[in-house]
Amino acid sequence: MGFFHSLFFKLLLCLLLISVIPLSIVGWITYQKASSSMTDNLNTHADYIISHKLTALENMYDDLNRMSDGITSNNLFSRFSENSNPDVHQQLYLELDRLLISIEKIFPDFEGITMINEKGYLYYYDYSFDSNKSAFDIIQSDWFQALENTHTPQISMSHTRDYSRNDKDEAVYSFVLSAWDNKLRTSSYIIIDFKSDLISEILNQNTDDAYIAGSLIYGREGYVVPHADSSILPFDLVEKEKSGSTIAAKDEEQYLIFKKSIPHMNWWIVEYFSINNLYKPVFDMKLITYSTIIISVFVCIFASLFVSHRISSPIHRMRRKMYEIEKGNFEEEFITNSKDEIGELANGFNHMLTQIKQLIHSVTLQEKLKKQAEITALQLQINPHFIYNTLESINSLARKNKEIEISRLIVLLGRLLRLSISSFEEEVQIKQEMTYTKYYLEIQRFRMRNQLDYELNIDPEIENHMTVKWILQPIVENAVVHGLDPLGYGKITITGYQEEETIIFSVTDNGIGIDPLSLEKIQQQLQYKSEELTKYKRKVGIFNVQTRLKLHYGPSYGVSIDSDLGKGSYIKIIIPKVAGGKNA
Amino acid sequence: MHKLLIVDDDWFISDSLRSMDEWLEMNVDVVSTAENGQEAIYWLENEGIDIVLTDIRMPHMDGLTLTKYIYENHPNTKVIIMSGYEDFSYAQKALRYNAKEYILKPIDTDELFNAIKKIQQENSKKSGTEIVEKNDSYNTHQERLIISSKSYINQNYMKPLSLKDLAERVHLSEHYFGQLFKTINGESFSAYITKVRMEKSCELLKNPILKNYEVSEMVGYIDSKHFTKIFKKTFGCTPKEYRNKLM
Repeated sequence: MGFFHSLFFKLLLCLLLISVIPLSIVGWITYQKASSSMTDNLNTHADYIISHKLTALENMYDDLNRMSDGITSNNLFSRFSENSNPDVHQQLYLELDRLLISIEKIFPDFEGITMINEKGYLYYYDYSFDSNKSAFDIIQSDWFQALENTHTPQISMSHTRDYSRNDKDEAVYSFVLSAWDNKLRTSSYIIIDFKSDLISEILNQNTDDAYIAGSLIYGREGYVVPHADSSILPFDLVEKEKSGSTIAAKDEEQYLIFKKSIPHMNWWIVEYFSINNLYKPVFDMKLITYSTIIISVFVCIFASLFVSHRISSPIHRMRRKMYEIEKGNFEEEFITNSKDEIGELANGFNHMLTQIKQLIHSVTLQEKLKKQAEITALQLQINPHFIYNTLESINSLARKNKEIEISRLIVLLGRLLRLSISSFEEEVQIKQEMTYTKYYLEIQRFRMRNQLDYELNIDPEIENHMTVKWILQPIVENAVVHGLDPLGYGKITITGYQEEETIIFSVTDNGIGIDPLSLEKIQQQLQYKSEELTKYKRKVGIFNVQTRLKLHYGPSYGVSIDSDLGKGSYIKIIIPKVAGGKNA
Repeated sequence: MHKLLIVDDDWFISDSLRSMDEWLEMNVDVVSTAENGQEAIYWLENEGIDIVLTDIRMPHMDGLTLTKYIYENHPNTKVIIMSGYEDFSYAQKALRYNAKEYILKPIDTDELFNAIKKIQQENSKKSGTEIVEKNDSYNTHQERLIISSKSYINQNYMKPLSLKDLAERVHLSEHYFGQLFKTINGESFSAYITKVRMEKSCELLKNPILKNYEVSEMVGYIDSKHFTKIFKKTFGCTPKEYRNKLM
């Protein structure tokens, strides 16, 4: 029996399948559900933040637009645009100042407004223009050139206004519009500067949130906020990847990015999250789930091992005992303390063992008895043929010497012998019993030189009934030996008749009889001690007959004896009527 | 007069039965005794036998086979079985082959005589209408002795038989027995033995497994050269040539 076929293995496998697989599945599903809902939450959150910022940026842009609209829709602006007269320009300056004072409230965070008409006249507001510079310097500057089509308002990259007299170190963004006047067929630039901090502030709204690693804005040229050098994300990756993808930062950390384009501005706002930070709860949960599953699996394995061992080891032990028993060692007992089914099994096993032992013992005994019986039977079978042949040889010798009496005696002896060993049945027909008795009497007659008479009176109706065999011959023998022999002559009468449900035999002799004292003793013994006498004193004759009858038919049947001293004895045998079917 | 043959391998039993005086009173002629079935058959063929009294267990051919043979070949011959075995299957077989009686050993002579008388009565009833006696001649006592001897030779050809043994067996002098044998039989004792042996050897030679010297031994010749010589003298060819001819 291989390990894979063992009960232990099967139990273990079952227990593991029952415990580990559902546990793993439940664990896995829980983890998946929780992590996906958590990821959804985070994504929604990120989306919300980015939308919020976008709105703020759009509001700012709308304010700037309205401001520029306010300027362009005014008459003054038309006049400024078409003006080519320096004097008029001076005049317009004052008027524009007044206009702008009213307009500046629309977007109070601006840092300065510059207007340039086609003729190169420049107007500036709220900052001081370096008098050494001209409008041309502005138009030629890098940030201005980088703008593509200024017919729609554009926001420049961050710059430091080289043309300013005072605030050269302050970085600003410029809102640039090339306002086209259809009527005048002129276009003039309106440049509204505002502090770079403004966008940073918008971007840094909500950045106190633990998950968020940062946000940025980029345009076609590169990062707008923050400055290219300070960003940890490579620009090309940020530009290329879609919203929701994961990219590797310069420090090789993984970041999840979300981005949205800002309408009218050619800008993209990007929120990026460190995956480790963002998904920390998810990772934590993953770890907890995995460790729980692994621990549970180990617990299950150990529990299964324990249970399997508990169940299989007594069975295994029992099997080993059985091996012992198979080998013929019946002295083994299966000892266990358990009170469960195994214990009951062990009890049953031990009980069975005892039974087997008893059975074997009894079978051995029976075999022995049977063998003895067979040997006896064989002896009885082998010997007769030798005996008959020998008897026939003697018979021949007698014939040869004309000894007719010897021959007759031998024939009788042969017949007696034949009858007595012809069957091993306990019962014979009364007919046969009588024949046997007759042969015996014939032989006795020879012995007594024909001084013995006998008479057999048997009711023909009972001849086919059954009787325990050879019950009459011992009685007759007693009568001859004790009753007639001392006289040397006499007569024996045997009568058989039926009385209700019994059959009665009487054996009467006219011999010397029995004296009353002995008779009483015999009667006593016959009634109470016949079995004992037969067994231990090896008494044959009347006691033997009594024992056999009582054993066979029960206590109400048997032999009784009576006698008159000097007149003879009278023996009565009572047996039940048993019909004999065979050998009619 | 009924002719009775007693068959038993124990010669003392058959002899004691044969020598009973009552046979004469009962008008029974005890022809002979035989030791087994084969010998009995030899008698049946050479002398009309009316009643066969046979044992069952005998060497060569047992009593039941003999009974069967008689039932098939000599339906007029009655059989009485005598046996120490009170075996149902024996009795059944005996009955099937029409045995008249089954007498148990030790034999009660009265029972035996009763059985014979019964057969005599049956036969006399029948012969009332038939011719009283069959015309086959009664062999004389001497003739029976010679038949008995020939039967014995037929059974014992493989043994070294001498005239002296045979003469002793029938209680005659060697010389007288030899003369009687030749007178009744027409050929001498030794010629008869040789004839029997040669016939047997011819039969045995038909069996290709047996070697010449084995055949020689089986028919009572110790010296196989002697056997070959006699064979050639009898048949005009050697045993080997005889065999080749058979092929």
